[in-house]
Amino acid sequence: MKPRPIDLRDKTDQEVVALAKQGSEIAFRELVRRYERPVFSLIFRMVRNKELAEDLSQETFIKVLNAVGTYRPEFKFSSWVFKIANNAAIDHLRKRSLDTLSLEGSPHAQTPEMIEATALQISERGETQLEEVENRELGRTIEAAIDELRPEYRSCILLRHVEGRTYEEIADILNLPLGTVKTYIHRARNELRIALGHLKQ
Amino acid sequence: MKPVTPHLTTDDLDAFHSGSLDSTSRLHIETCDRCRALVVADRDLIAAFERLPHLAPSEGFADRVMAHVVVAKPARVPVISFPKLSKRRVALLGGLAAGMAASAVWSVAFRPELEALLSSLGGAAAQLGWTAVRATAAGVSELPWFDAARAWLAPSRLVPSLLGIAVLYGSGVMALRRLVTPTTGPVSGARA
Repeated sequence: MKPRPIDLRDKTDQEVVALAKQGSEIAFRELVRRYERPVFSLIFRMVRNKELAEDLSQETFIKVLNAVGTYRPEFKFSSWVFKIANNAAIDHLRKRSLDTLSLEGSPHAQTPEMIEATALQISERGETQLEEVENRELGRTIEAAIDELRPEYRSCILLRHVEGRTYEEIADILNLPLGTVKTYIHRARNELRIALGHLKQ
Repeated sequence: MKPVTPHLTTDDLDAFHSGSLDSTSRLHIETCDRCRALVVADRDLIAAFERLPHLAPSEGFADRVMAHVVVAKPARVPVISFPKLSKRRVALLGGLAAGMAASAVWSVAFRPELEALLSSLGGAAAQLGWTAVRATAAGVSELPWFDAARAWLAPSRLVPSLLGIAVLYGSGVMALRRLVTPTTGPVSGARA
């Protein structure tokens, strides 16, 4: 009888990692499935370039999965993944200045098909058309405001308010003292409030 | 309205968002326009962040990652397995155990007889063995090559013979080592 494929969706990260350590390719793929969107989102919002974000995300996962045997379960797996992802983005930002790419598609796209092809896939949220337009407008404004932040502030604010990480986790991910993380997040929120002040009107 | 308590700190703002702000600070928000505006703006900002979508990489991302990942299979640990106990095997083992138990009981019950029997058998076996050795030695000494072999084993010839054998063995070992040791120089067709 053919064995049934294993469903790992109900397993915890630690359980999936344990299976990956035993050489289960399904477990490796499950880890990619769980973190590809958060990692790609974080890196994209840091570097603002789709192809580059894909390359850096790929580099992150290759590092994580090839070193999964050295992962120590007393640490949170997600913190480890985000730490590697953030380091990849920050390293890149330190190396070069970047072009920007709109979430709506490449500015160089000349036909609707090209715009569609270069636009980013966004998770479905079950919004109405009006909500979608409003949210897209607000999202675009926030994305632009985030882009103006210092990279350290950007990492902190994205991890806190997009990924929902605690201050302690962020301190661990970024190798920063807890107080520094709090300061960065509050300064980032101050800057964003000022930058988005016009939205109130 | 003029506030009666100090303005909110950044920690107070966090406490407000997590729903753990103390009653004094909550009262302050009611009485301070500046802090109320700050709290509302901060709350709207966080809500807007939470509405930001998760972006997805392009199709086939996982496959591209997996193409560069080495999925190491752990070394197999040998498992000691016992043969299945069929009815026949159980009967055989049972019979063997019963036979051993009966033998032990009989040995205890008839110990003097057993000792006498073993003693006489031992004596007979020793005598038989010695007779066999003598007969073999007599037979070998009658063989045609016996005298030649005896001459080779004489002390005057034994030492040079052993030396010759040692030299032959040593050169054999050296030749074998040279054969199995990998070369240290460049190998044609190997990558730089």
